[in-house]
Amino acid sequence: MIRIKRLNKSFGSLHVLKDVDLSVSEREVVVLIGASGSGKSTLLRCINFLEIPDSGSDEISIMGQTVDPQKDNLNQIRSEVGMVFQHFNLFPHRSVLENVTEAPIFVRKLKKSAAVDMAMQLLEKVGLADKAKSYPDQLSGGQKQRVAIARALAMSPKIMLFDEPTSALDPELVGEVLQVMKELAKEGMTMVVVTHEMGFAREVGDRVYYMDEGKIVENGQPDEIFSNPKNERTRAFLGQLL
Amino acid sequence: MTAIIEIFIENWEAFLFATGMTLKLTAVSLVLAMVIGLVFAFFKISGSKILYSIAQLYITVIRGTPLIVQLMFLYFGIIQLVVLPAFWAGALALAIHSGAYIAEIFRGSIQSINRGQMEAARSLGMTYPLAMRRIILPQAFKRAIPALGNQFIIGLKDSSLVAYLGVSEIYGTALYAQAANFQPFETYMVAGCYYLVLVIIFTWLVNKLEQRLSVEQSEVTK
Repeated sequence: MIRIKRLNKSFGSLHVLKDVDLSVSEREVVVLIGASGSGKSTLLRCINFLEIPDSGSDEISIMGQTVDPQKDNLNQIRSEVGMVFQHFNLFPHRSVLENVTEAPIFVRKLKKSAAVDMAMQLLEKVGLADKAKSYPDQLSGGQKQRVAIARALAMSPKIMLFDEPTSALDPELVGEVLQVMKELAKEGMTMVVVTHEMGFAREVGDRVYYMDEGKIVENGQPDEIFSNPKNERTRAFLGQLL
Repeated sequence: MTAIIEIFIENWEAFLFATGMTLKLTAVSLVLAMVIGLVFAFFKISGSKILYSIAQLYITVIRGTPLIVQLMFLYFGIIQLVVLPAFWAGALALAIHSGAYIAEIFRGSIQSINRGQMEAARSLGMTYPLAMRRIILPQAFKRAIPALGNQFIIGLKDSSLVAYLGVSEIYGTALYAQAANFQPFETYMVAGCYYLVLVIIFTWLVNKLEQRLSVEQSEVTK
C-alpha cells in the first residue's frame, strides 16, 4: 500500500528525515515510535504530502502508484488517505455531523442525504450518534478525536494515518480512542500510527519502527522490539518508558 | 438652542434625502471595499512575491496619503478618461481607501486561524480554494467582525468628504444650508447629530451581529 525509498526531508538547513525506507502492506498496522523530534510525525505527514519530500528522495508510492509531488494531483491522493491529528483540528464552525459530511459532499460530490446517512453510521460506529447536532467545543477531547476519526473515515480511505492521536488527551479519555482504533485495525484497515502508547503498539501493531534523529534505527514485530531490542538506542528509549 | 431646532425643522427634508445619500454612498463603497480588501488580503498571503509587493504598494500609498487627496486625484484623474457621475467617483474612491484597511483586517484574521484547520481540510482532499471558502473564511470573517465594524463606522464618517465632489449627502447639505442661512455653528451641529445617530444605530447592529454569531455556535444543543 505504501512504499517509501530513501525519503529525505529538510526544513531549511535542518535535515529532519534521512534516507528513510518504509513499506506498509494492505491490512497492516505499522506503529512508529521514538523520542520527540525524531521525525515520526514528519514521516507521517510526508505520506499524504502535507509535507513535500525533498527532491532527492527516491520514491514514494501510494497504492501502487509512484507519486511525483510536482506533477500529480495530491488532492486525489489525500482523499484516499485519512489523517487524524494530535489536536483533532475539527472545524469549530460546523456541527459534528457537518464535520463528517463536509468532505464527502464537497470533494466526493455525494448527495447530502447520502452523506448524512453515511455520517450517521460512522458516528454510530464511534459511539457519538447522539452528538451529531453538537458543536466541537461541547465535546470532551476523547469525543473530539472520535469525531475526527469518523470525519476521516467518511472519505472511505484506503489508508489511515494517526499522528499521536491520544497525546493531547486526559489519561482517562485515552482508552475510548484506542478502542475505536483497535476496531478499525480488526476490520482490516491499513494504518500507520505515531504513538507513545506502547501497550497499543504491542497489542495492535503488526510491525513497529523505532526512529531516532531522522532515521529508522530498527523495525520488527512488536514482541521482538519490545522484549528483545537489538539496537542500543532502541533499548535505551524503551528503558526510559517502561 | 432654538436656532438649532429651527434649522433642524427647516431643513429636515433636505437632510432626510442627504441621509439616504450618505447611507447609499457608505453601503456601496463598503461592499466594494470588502471585495477589494479580500483580493488584496489574498495577494498578501499568496506566497507570490509579485502579488505581495503589489498589495504592499497599494496599502502603503493609500495609508500614507489623505483621503481628500485620493478623492480629488481619482475624481479629476478619472474624468479625463471616462465620464463618471460624482456619486460613483466618490464611492469608488472611498472603496479604494477603505479597501486598504480591510485588506489588513482580513489578512490578520485569516492568518489567525490555526494552521491545523487548513491541514485537516487538505488532508480530506479539499483543494486550497475549497478549504479557504468552506473552512477558513467563515471562521476568519467571524473573527474580523469587530474590526470590520470599526472600519465601517470610519467609512460612514469619511463619506462626508464626497461633499467636495458636489454630492448632497449630510455634510454637503450642511455646507449649502449654512451658506444660505449664515448660521454655520448651528447647521454643522445638526449635521453632526445626524452622523452621531447613524453611528449609534450602526454600532448597535454590529454588536447584535456579533452576539448572534457567538450564540449560534455555543448554544445550539445546550
